[in-house]
Amino acid sequence: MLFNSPEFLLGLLPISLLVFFCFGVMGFHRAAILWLTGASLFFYGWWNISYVPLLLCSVLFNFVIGEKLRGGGSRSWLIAGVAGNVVLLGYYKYAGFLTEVISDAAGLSWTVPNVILPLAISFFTFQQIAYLVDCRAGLVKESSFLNYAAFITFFPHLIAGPITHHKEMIPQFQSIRIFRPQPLLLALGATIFLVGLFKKVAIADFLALFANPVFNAAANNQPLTAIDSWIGAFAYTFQLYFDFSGYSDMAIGAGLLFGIRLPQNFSSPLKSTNIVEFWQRWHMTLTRFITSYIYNPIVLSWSRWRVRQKLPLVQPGRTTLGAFVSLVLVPVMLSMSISGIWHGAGYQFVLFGALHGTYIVIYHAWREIKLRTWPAGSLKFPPGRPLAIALTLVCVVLSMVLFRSVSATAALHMFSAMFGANGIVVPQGVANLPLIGTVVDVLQLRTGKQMFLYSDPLLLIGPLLVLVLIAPNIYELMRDYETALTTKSTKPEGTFGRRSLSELRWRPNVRYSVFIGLLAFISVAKLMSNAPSEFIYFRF
Amino acid sequence: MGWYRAIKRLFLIEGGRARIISALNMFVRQSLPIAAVQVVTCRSHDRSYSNRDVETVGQPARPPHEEQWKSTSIYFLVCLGTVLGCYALFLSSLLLLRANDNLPPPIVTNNLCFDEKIHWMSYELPSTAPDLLVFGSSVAWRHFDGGQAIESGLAKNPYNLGFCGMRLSQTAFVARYFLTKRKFQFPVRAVIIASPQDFEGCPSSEEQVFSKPDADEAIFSRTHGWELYLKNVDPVPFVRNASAVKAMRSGANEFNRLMFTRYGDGPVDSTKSRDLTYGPVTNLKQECFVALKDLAQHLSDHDIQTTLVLTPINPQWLSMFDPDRRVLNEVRSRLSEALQKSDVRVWDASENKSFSELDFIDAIHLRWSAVRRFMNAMAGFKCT
Repeated sequence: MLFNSPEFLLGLLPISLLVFFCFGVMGFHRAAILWLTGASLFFYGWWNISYVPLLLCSVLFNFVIGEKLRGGGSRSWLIAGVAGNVVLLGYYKYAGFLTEVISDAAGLSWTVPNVILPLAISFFTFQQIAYLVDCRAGLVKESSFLNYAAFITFFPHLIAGPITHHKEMIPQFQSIRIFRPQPLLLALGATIFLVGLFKKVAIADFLALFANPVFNAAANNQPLTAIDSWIGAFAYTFQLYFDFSGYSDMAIGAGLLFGIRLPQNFSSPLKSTNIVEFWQRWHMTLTRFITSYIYNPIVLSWSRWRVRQKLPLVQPGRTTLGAFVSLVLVPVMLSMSISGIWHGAGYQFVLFGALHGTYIVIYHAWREIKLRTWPAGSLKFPPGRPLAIALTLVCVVLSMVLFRSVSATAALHMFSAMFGANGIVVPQGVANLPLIGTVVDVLQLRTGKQMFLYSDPLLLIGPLLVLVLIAPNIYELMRDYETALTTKSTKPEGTFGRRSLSELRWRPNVRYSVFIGLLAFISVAKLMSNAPSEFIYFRF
Repeated sequence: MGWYRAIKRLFLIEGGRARIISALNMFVRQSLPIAAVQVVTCRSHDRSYSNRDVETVGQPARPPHEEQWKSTSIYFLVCLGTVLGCYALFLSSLLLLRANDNLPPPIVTNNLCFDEKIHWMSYELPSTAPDLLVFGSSVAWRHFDGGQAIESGLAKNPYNLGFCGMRLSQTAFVARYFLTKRKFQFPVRAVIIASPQDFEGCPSSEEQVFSKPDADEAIFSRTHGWELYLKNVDPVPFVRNASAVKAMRSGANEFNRLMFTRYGDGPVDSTKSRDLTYGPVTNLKQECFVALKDLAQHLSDHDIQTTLVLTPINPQWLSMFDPDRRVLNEVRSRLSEALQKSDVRVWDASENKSFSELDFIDAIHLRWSAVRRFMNAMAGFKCT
């Protein structure tokens, strides 16, 4: 079941909320948690009921191992538990890909097994690995299976995150405050949910109309012009941005309706001035997981080894090549490659992770060079910030080509088109404009028809770009209230009319209510609509 | 100092830190209905909580619980009122647009020209079952003249079921849909008119273009699909269509005219031309030819004599994008392969010398003055 489906909005969400609070108000707290777990399993089983036992077995397996570890179980229990999770994920998510890789490498003609990927397996597996590691570290005190099952299966975060920690969730399930409806949390939750729904239904799905034809053409090896392919790449980047941030908002909003706060997963990542900041703002809980459980342990163990060998560590402005390679380059590339492959099984995802790893390494190298060349604070370059944002954005757009493409070959085809392999064809209407016309003449560019009526994607992407760069996100607007856990808030910049954006504050008042009602109308109308996607056929 | 030493000792013993935090959590939960202080345990390397075990969130002063319920209730009521108000406004705007002839057709396929024809059909269904049905894309819709077909003896009661923008897999879906309807069930003949572009990009041999219940509602119900305005909402195309549809209906937008003859044909009665509009054909799909083969078999099973017409193509397009006729020959070859075991007659008019560049408004669409000659040639082919 999806958050943006009528059966969820009109069925599961209100019913589960009502029954949960009925149990809660009557004092049947365990029944309320049991109901919540049942509703979450129903939510999961809506997709394919035959995978509910798999989820339950995974939960039971990890709880049992966790209990062993909490009871002073040896390290081998931890290894067995982590291995069990990795094998499960490996079989369902990577068996086909690994078979393909081995078959390609060895020149064998193996048949790639058709294994159906269980929904959300990457999310609940990662959460449970973190749980086991924390059990071993003595950080887990909870021993209620019901609370543990509710923490893993809680439907707002089950399908697409945020990836939560037991220490964030279980204390909330134990708290008595969640069992009574809290008016402010209901208003906050509903508002965040509706904003997320609008992002997903009204913006992301609309952007797909411009991204899909371009990527389909690339997959079919059709000749794409440079402008078409860049429009497709930008449209997809914004589509994914609004899709994922919308889904994260809906998760956090739905959680708040039940009085449960989830960690923030998105914080205006396209405002980032460098790629490291981008990953601190994009899919924040995945970055937190990768950093805590993969990157940091690697760096720590290698740092200890280097200390024992009396080798230098990373020192800003004085890092040696050896330290840089062993403590920055290798851990970053390894962590980002794992992050890439976590997103999906395929060469394109490996390349996606590796590309981001390369970006991060370049960023660290640049920072090192900057510190050596210009001692701290001595480099003044006023346009640096917008340039840094633009450069980061372009790097992200390029990487998203790998993320969206159906194969590495299709991605390479797209890249070649973006860099002019099929020529740059300027739309006739644009070429007729005075200044651009001169540029077209001087560069002797071709003019002609493109895939789209340019007014459509450009009129959409342009304002959206401005919006994501200057507008505050919902958590910044609601910064006077507790919304998500671990919010990363920045002061909004820019102005809105005569008002500074930093002055904008959400309040449960009539003005915001009308605004949210408007968003709700558009979202619900789109959601309930049976209208097929507009097929933009303008030549008849 | 004693307290301080006790707490410090507790921190140092195993699990002591977690115990303190747990106690703090309990205290916070008991003291406030909504925790103003968030207490979290953390790993030393967990950077999201770096250097802060206790996180304070500044909040405005909270009003009493009853006040909160009151303001939240008002918030939700205004929100709901806005949604209902928007629906009322939307309905009023439909009436206003209708009064000014700017009301687009209800969305069935979300393709203006397709939906307009469906809407037109809901008012102009044939009174008696047609003996000849025309299927295909815009070239079928634009290139068939029902009146001329009657004059030349091709049919007594033709009806054009060509819809713009369709590839063969979609044409197959549409043809099958209409052949299940009583009005269109028993034609003697069928004509499929296609261009090479119609054989591009089919994802499968039959591709759904619309929801059948929606189409039933829009075409065959007495309400002419009014409910669909509320059921199928897509604001951006709706606004765009509302701003353009009047000019298309009146013929002011002469290349994208949405005017119909009584037989469902869509003449382009313009003396002007636009550029070729259609680029090279690069994505011929076998699924399109399979779709045609299956459709031909379906028509044959219903004893319908079928003719496939490969529409005339602008010589300028041929010299620019297919000078050695590789594409055209590929289409011809795959067509003959697909139809070799069927009784479909194929008329290849793609390079018919009767049509010059002046007869086309773009690469494939004939102007209405040339359609008459096209129909005469078709009648001539039928007689051979």
